[in-house]
Amino acid sequence: MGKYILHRLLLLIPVILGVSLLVFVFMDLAPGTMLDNLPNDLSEAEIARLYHEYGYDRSVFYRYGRYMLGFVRGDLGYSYIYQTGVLGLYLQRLPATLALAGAAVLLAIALSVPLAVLAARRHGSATDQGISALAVLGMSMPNFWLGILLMLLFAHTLHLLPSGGMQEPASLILPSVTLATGLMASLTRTERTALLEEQQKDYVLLARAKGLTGPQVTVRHVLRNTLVPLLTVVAMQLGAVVGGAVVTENVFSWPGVGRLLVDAIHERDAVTATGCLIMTAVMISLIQLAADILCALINPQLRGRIDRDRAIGLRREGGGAA
Amino acid sequence: MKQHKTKPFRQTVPALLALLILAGALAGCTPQQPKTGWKSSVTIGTDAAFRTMDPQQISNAAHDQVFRMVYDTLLAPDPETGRPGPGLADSWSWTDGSYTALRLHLREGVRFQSGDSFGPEDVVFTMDRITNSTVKSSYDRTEITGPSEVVIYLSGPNADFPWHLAACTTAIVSKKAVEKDPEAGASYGTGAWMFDRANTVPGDHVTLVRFEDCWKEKPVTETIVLRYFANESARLIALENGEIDCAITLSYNEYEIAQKNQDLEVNIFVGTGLNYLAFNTTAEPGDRELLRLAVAYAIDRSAIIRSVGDPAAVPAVSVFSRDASAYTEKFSEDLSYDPAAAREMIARLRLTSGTVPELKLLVNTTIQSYKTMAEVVQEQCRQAGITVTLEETDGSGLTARSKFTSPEHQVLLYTIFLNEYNSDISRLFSPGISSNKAVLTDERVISLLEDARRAGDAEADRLYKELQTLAHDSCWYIPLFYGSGCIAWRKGVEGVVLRSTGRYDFTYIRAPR
Repeated sequence: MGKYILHRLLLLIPVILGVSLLVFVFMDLAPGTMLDNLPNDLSEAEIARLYHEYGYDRSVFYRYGRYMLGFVRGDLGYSYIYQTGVLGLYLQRLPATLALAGAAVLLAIALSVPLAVLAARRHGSATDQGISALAVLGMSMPNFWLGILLMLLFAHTLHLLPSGGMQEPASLILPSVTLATGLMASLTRTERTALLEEQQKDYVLLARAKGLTGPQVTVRHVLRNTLVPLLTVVAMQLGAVVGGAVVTENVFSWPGVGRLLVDAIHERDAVTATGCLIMTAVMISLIQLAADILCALINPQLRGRIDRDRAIGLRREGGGAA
Repeated sequence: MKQHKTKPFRQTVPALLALLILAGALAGCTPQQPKTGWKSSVTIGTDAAFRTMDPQQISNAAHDQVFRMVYDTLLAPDPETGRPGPGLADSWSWTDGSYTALRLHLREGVRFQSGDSFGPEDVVFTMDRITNSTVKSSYDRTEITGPSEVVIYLSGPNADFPWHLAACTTAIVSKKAVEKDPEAGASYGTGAWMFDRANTVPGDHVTLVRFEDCWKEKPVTETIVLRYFANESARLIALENGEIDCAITLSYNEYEIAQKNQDLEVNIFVGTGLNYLAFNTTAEPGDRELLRLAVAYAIDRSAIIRSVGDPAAVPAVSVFSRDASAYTEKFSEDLSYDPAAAREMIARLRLTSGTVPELKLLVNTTIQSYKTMAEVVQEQCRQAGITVTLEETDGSGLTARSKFTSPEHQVLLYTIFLNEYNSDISRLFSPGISSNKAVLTDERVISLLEDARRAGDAEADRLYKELQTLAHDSCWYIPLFYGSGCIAWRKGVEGVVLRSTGRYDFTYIRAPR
C-alpha cells in the first residue's frame, strides 16, 4: 500500500510539469502580457524595465524554466497584478473553493443515494422513469445557465436567498446546488445501476429468506456494497466539480480559486494562473488518491488487488532491467 | 430523610422557573437602548476588482475610490468643482510665477493608522516613491523647509501640478510604516477608514473599518465592504435583493429596470469616458489625412449611441474632457456626419494615390458595446466607400498591439477617462505614453502642451483650445461619444459624493436600518 501511494505521488511530477508547461505556452500565444494591464500610466522606460524583470524579453521557455526553479524551492511566484506572492493568494482563496466543492459533493451524495434507492426499488415504474429523466436533465444543464436561473428565481424574484458573494452561510446554497446538480445526476445514474446489479445477487435472496424486509436488505447489505463504485465515481468526478466550480464561482461572485484563475487569465497573469492550476492539479490528484485509499479500506479485496498489481508491476520492472 | 431531600428540590425548580419567567418579562419591559437610525455596516457593489493596498502602485477607478477613503492627499478635490483644496496641506502657493516650485504648509496633529505622526518626511518619502509617469515627468524633488513645511520642485513649469497632488497616486503613506514593513506598510493612511486585512480578499472584496483617531469628521458607519461583481445584472439583483446598499455602474438596458424599482434611487450622469477612434499616424494607411477625414465624415455618432443603447450618452466633438475649462465645441471645420463629404474625400484620395486602402479596426470584442460600436463604424464606412475589417482581440491584446514604441494597429476603438484639468489631455498627445494611441510626436502639439503648462489660466485655455482645433482638424483621433455613468442605491442611503470626474467618494456613506 505504501509503495502504491508513493507511486501515485511520483505520478504528480509529470502532471505538474505538463500542466505548467501548457499554461505557460498557451498564455504566451495570446497577445499581451500582464504588464499590459497595469493601469498606472507607467512610462515606457519603466515598462521596459518590468519586461526585463519578468523575462518577457526572453523566450517562454526561459520564463518557464525560471518559474519551475522557483517552484521547486516552494515559490509559486509573485503576482505583479496583486503585488503579493501567488501561494498566499491561492491559500487565501482555497477555503472558499473547498467549502463550495465540499458542500456540492455532500449535497450530491445526500440527494443521489435516496433517489437511486427509490428508482432501483421501483425499477421500471413511473417514479424510476421520472428520476432517470431528471438525472439526464441534470447532466445536460450547463452550470452557468442553471446558476443564473436559480439566481433569478430565488434571489431576484422570491428574495429568499443571497444572489452571490460569501457574506453569510445562506450564500452557499445557490452555488452549491448549481455545482451539485451535474454530479448528483451522474451519481444517481451510477448508484441506480449498481443497486439494480446488487439486487440480483444471491445474498439478497438469502437475506429476504431470512426474514429481512426490502428496505432492511437495501440499507444493511445492498447499499454498503455499492459504496465502492459510488466513491470511485465521486473521486473521478472531482476534476469536473473543480472545473465546474470555476464557472459557478464566476456566476455567483464566489471568492474562490476558480474566480482567481479566470481573473488571472484575463489579466494575462501567467504566474498566478500557473500557480493556481498546478496547485489545483495537485489537490485533485491527492483527493483522488485519498478516495482510492478510502475505497481500499472499505473493500479489503480491492486493497489486496492494489498490492498484487503493484507487486506484478515491480516484478516486470525488475525483469526489464535484468 | 427521603422527604427532606426531595421536598426542597421540588420547590426550587418551580421557583427558578418563575424567576426566569419574571426575568424574561422584566427584560421585555426594560426600555432598550435607542437604536441609531443607520446601519453599522454598509456594502457597496463595485464594477472592478480591488487588488492592491498601495496607492503608489496602481491607479484606476476601482482603487481610487477605496484609496480616497483610506488615505489623504496633500490637496483634496473640492466635491463640487473638483478643484484642489486644502488636504494634508492646509495652505499652498507657488514660490514664484514660473510654476516650478510649490510651497506647502502641512496640517499638524495628524496621525497615520499605524500610530505614527504625519510630518514632512512622509511627504518627501511618498513623492519619491511615485511611479505614475504623468506625475514623474513633472516632478524633480521635495525639500523640507520647516517643521511643517515642504517645497516641491518640478522638472519644468506645470501650472496644473496641484491637481496631481489631489489625485490618489500621490496619497501620503507613512515613511516609518513602509520602512518597518515594506510589503504592508503602505496600507496605512491618514483617512477616515482603514483596511481590515483579515476580512479582505483581494480581487473579491475589501473591508474597511472606521479609523477612530482620524483628524477629520468621524463617519457614522463603522464598516464598509466593497464587493466586486463582474456581472452588471448580478450587481443589480444584489441591490434589489438588499444584499448591497449601493451599486456602481449598471448596464444601459437596466437603467429603466432600476428606475422603476420604488426601493432604489438611481443617478444617471454623463461620464468622462470618451469613446474614440485613434489612427496610428506613423504608418499606412492611418498617416493619410484624407482617409482620416473621410472616416470622420462617415461616422454618424447618434447612430452609434443608439446601437449601444446608452440612454444618456452625449456625442463628442472634441477629445477634451467636458469638465475642462478649455473645452470647446466651436471649430472652423464642421466634421460631423456627412456621407457626401466622406465620398468626396475618398474620391480625392483615389485621385492622389490611385487606390483607397482598406482599414483594419482593432477592437476589444470581449466587451459587447465595443463590438457593436465597431460593427456600426464598419457599416457606416462601407456606405461611404471605405472597407473596414475588424481585428478582434481582448483588452490585453489591444494594449499590447498599440504600444507607443511598437504599434501594430492601423486604427483602434478605445475609451479614455479624462480628469477635469486641461493638462490631462497630454496623455493622448505626449510621446512615450501608452495612452497616446495615435502615436503622435507632432512638434506643434508638444510645443502647445509645454507653453500651456507654463502659462496662466487664461493663456493656457487659449493654447489648449488651439490644441483642440489642431486635433479636430487633423483627425488623429475621432471622438465618438461620452458614455453615461450610473450609480444606484437603496432609498435612504446618504453621503455619497459624485465627483465631476465620475468617480465617487464613499467616506461618509450611511444607510438606514
